[in-house]
Amino acid sequence: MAFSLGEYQDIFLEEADDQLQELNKNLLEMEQNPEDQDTINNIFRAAHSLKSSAAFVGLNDLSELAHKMENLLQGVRDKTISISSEIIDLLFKCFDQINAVIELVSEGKKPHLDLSSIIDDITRTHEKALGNQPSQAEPEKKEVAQPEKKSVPKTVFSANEKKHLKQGLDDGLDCYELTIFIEPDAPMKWVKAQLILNSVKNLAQVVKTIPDEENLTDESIRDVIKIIILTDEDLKDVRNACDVDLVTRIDIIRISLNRRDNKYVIKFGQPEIFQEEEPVEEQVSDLTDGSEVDEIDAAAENEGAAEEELVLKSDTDDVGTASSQTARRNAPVLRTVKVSVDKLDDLLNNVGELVIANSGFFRMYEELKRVSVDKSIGNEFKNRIEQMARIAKDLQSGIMKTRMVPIGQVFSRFHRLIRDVSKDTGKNVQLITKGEDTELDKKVIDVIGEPLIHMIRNSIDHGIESPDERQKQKKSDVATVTLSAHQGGNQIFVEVIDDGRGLDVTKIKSKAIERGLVTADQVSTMDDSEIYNFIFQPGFSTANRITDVSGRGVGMNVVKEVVQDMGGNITIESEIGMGTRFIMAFPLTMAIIPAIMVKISGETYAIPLTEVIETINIDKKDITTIEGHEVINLRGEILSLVRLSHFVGMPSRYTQDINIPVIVVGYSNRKVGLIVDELEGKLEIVIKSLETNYRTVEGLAGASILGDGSIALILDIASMINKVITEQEKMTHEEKLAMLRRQEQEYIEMQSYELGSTAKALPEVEESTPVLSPSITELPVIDESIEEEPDLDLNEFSFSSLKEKGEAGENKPVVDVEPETPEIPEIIEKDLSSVEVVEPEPQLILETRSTGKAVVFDTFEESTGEEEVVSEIKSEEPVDLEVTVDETEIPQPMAETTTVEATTAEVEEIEEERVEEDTQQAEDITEILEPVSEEERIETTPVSDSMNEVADEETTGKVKEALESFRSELHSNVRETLDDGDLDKHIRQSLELSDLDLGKIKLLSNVGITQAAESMSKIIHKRVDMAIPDVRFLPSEKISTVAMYQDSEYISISMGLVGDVKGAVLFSIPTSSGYSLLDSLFGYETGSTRTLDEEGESAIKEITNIVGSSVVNSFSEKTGLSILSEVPALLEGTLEECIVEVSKQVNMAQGYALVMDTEFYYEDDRIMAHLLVLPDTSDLKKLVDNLRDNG
Amino acid sequence: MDISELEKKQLSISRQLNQVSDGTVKTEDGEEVSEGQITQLVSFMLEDVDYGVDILSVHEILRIPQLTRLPNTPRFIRGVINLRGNVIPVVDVRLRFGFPPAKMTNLSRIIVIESETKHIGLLVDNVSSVVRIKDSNIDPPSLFIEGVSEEFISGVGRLKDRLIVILNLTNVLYTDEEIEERKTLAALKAGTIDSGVV
Repeated sequence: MAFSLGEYQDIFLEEADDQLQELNKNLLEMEQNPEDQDTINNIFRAAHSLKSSAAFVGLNDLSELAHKMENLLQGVRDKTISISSEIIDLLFKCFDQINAVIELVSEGKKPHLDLSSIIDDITRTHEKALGNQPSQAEPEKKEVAQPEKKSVPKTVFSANEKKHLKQGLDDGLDCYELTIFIEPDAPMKWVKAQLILNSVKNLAQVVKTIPDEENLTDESIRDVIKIIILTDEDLKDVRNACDVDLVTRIDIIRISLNRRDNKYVIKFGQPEIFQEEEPVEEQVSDLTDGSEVDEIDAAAENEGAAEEELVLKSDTDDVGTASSQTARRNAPVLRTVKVSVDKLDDLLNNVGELVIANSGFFRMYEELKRVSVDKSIGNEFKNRIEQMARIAKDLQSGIMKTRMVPIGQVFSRFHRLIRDVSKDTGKNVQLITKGEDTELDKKVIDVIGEPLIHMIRNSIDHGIESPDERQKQKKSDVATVTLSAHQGGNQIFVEVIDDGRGLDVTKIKSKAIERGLVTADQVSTMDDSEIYNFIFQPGFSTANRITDVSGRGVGMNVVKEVVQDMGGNITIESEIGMGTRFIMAFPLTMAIIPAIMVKISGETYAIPLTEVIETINIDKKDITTIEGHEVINLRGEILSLVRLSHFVGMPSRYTQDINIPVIVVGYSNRKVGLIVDELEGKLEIVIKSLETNYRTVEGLAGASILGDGSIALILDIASMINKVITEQEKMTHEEKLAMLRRQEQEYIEMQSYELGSTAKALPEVEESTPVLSPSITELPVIDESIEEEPDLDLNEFSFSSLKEKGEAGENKPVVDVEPETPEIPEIIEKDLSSVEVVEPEPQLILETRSTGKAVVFDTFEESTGEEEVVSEIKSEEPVDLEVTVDETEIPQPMAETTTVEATTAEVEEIEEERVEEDTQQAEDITEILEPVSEEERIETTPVSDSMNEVADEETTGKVKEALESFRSELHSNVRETLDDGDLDKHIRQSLELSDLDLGKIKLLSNVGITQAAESMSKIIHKRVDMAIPDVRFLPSEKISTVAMYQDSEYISISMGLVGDVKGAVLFSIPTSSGYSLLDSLFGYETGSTRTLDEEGESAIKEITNIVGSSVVNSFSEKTGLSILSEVPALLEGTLEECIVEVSKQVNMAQGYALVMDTEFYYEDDRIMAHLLVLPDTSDLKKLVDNLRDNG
Repeated sequence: MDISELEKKQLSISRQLNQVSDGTVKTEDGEEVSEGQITQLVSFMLEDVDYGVDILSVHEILRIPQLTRLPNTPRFIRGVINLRGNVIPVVDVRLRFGFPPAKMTNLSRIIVIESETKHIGLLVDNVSSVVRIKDSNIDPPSLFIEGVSEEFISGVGRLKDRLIVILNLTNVLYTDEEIEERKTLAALKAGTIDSGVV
């Protein structure tokens, strides 16, 4: 059986742990500043407490050791001994011994250490220090002066307590006053008191304790405690509960309540005394003949305002005066409860379920909205759901917060480590810690110590130069190791920084090559950060010698493993001669993780967001196959592709060759693209382990239950990719080829379906137009027409004809363009058309595939002349040209024109354009998380139209020239329109809005936004200036231009509008301004908020709610329409990105939105916030009409 | 027995699950014995043979909910289901016992059992009844039962007119190899405990 110190073990360990930390901290302090009395006192106190608590649990050796320490320190304190390094070292040694004992105990082992030698050491040192003076007698007991033994505080009830008492007695419970006398010499009396109280609480309601419960933890607890309880338990049990070690006597007095006249009388019975030595037979004395009684004014009590403290005296004298009690009560006491992490996990799990269950209601609401005629019920329902969602969310974040522990306690341990290691190595190192208050998940805190030790040791041993070397380099004598922690976004960063010599890339390289981890060729293409990562390889060490401290190459491997186990990752930055920085990034919390949901073969999988680097769309034609592995060129970097369908073992259902969604994930030090069928967006998920009821499944990290009750499996990216790749490797060459053929076949088959579907992407934006953020997805415009192109043969041809020709297809213009060198995929990627392996042996042949550009190109080649093509396309575009040109974005014509050039012009010209095409291709791969709305796609049509028309009118030879002029013409046209023209006239017309109406809307928005400014100023108690709102129609892509001149970082919150007028509100605060706002809201010192924590986030959301609602309310007020705001949501990204995001939530007629845009300013003209209101255009008429109706 | 009758029967079984009475009960054969002497089995039919699972290990019986396939698991693992927030694996008993696969019908049920600490769903073609059987009528497993690995058979019960194979499904989740592995592991663990190290 494990060794145990009995029931007090936990309390002892906890207590001892605190004392040890205190000791450690102060010893280090003392070394720096040996004369500091406070420090010595602190050490003394810690030693003293250790002595008592060790004795209490029977660790007599330890107690003896602590006692000797105490003696020694007493001498120091009394200045009879002067402090010396010898003494300090000895104290450190003592500390180590104590630590060792405590560790053994906590591991459940019997502490078998022989402490006598160190005890002798102390005695010797002590005597020596005293200079042969006879060692002093034991220091006086420093224990708090004992209160007089027999003194018992009198019992005084407050009004509340009286009420409680009466209530309990009315309920038929018995009331007793327990007076417990604790052996005055007993150590840790407060622990006993606590123990007694706890066991009594199991049996009874505690009405009152003397001293107060909060003060029971006080170390100076007196020998007597009183507990007044209500219970229906047997008196004997109650007594037993109180009868712990070293309790000398227990008096029990029954308290009853009699009614006399109009007053209640509290009666105290005769005390029943239980001496420890001879427990008295259980027998309750007669209760009616109470020695003294006191009266409570019943009327006063009923009013709950009994002012007089009516006091009943027991037969004992009182000592504890009222004043001392009050003083106690005022002492700030931090009340804490220890809860196991498992319990919190369970709780969090349940709350997660609650959140999920709640999201089910939202679906029900949608359903309700659809079937129910009565809107009010729906709205009421929605309000309730939202309220519940808020509560659940609060609960969730609350519990999550309880799991968070400041990292400072981990950091503080390292002062000692640094001291020891630097002594061992003869280097002078100081430790600086930053961000000790940063909170991490308890799980991370528990394990982070080990990796930090390794990194610090590594830094001191390898990173920091010897003092000589430092001097030569003119670095300061004292080297610095910095431990820092801070929060950024959804991650917590913990860094170990040294100012040493930095990592030696060449050394690592040669070692890596030597160990066969990598070839010299491979190394030459790697960048520094990739090379640094070699030090995480097991057994990798560049140290020439192995020291006690490090050099075995085990450490860094452990570091990486631990960090990854916690869902984090580690990176290294280093500069030769300047130092090294290890950066560990951990997710904010372990229990709920953000994930990207993907669909493959109709099944939903979750990919933890921490694994995801970006999401892109690729085209089939961009995929190159090298030795059976598919790769693409992602912005000049070769990205391996893995098909998720291979992992799940089901065929993909994605049937297009373009815009294939790919998730780029980190896989060891590389990036890997995961091909999926569909991206469903981001979701917060609760991880459920599969092991609970089954076992681990390779490639899966667990499962999660979604809002609709269905289960999504969570991918374990590393093991999943491992599996897929191993399986691929396993295949023989033949099989590989067979697979390739099969894949090829698959694609041929798929092509017959693909043309009907549409692509999800936005038109390309040119660099010349500053309008759109570059993150918007581009798509060659002709796609639109191609998609509607009914003739399948075009695609079939492009594929099969090339296949027939194989590498011999040089006479094709396509091929001419290609400097086809299989070894250098980058070059291939730069070409207009892409490459794919079809031919088995030489592994590479060319194939032109299916972006709009390429297809048109092929079509042209195939057909006899461009006229045919053009007319085909044209016939599909019956859109009115005039209108569409108006709507057209500037960039499109550019993209268009280029494409047409490619189609019609000569090969040389294509080569000329190559650079441009190249950039476009790179930009083809863009983020696509958000599906793009219908309108955005429609916009792509007009240009192809006009292009056709132009092409129609020009002769083949002059196409290029004409296009050139057309392009510039279009440019200037659009620019003019945008700059000066009445841009939104046709929009207004289509919405049946007159100029007057627009004016009214402007007025309305003025009123609303002024309201908002007013609310804002109320919240922050400052004057708020606002710009006159800019109200105008903007095409969807132009909306973000309102943020064009904003370069600061913003915190952006969006809020949907529902009800009669739908739309969205975006409220953005410059980050700095947001933080100072939070400071003033929470009453912090200016500058103390540096990150947006959950509290801050919810505060800003609340502000958004208030500001947004004031706009909405004034709108409803003026129009009588019911407009409601949804729950605000925090958006990620730059202001532009957020605007784009929000504009997607808004329903826009013909791609135009009415933008109400304003800014709020502080008095000093600093921007305080940016407010954007985007009502659905379709609801504008409603707004205007109602405004009219209401006068 | 037509379908609706079967369904009714299944309903009543679900009810019976919740009322394990005390005192004396009647066995299938109408004999009155005291509770301690009988075993209650949830029975289902598979390829004309009756199988029974001890009612004490049965957690509940479900209609087929939405199943999420688990990739890279043995074929007989049909996937996982969400049982009030718990993710529970479902074993297709047919496939596990080596019978040919069959389509799920509206008679198909999932019997959720509790084995060791795990909850496991058993996908069966039907749940026919709850059978009470005297312990004295249960024989140890014999060799004649075709197909089903003896791993899963804890005994054979004799009823009036037929036999019922009583299943022990502790290891039903695992492949034969995994079962071997687990047994070795368990033996190893038991060994260490015997030698008194822990």
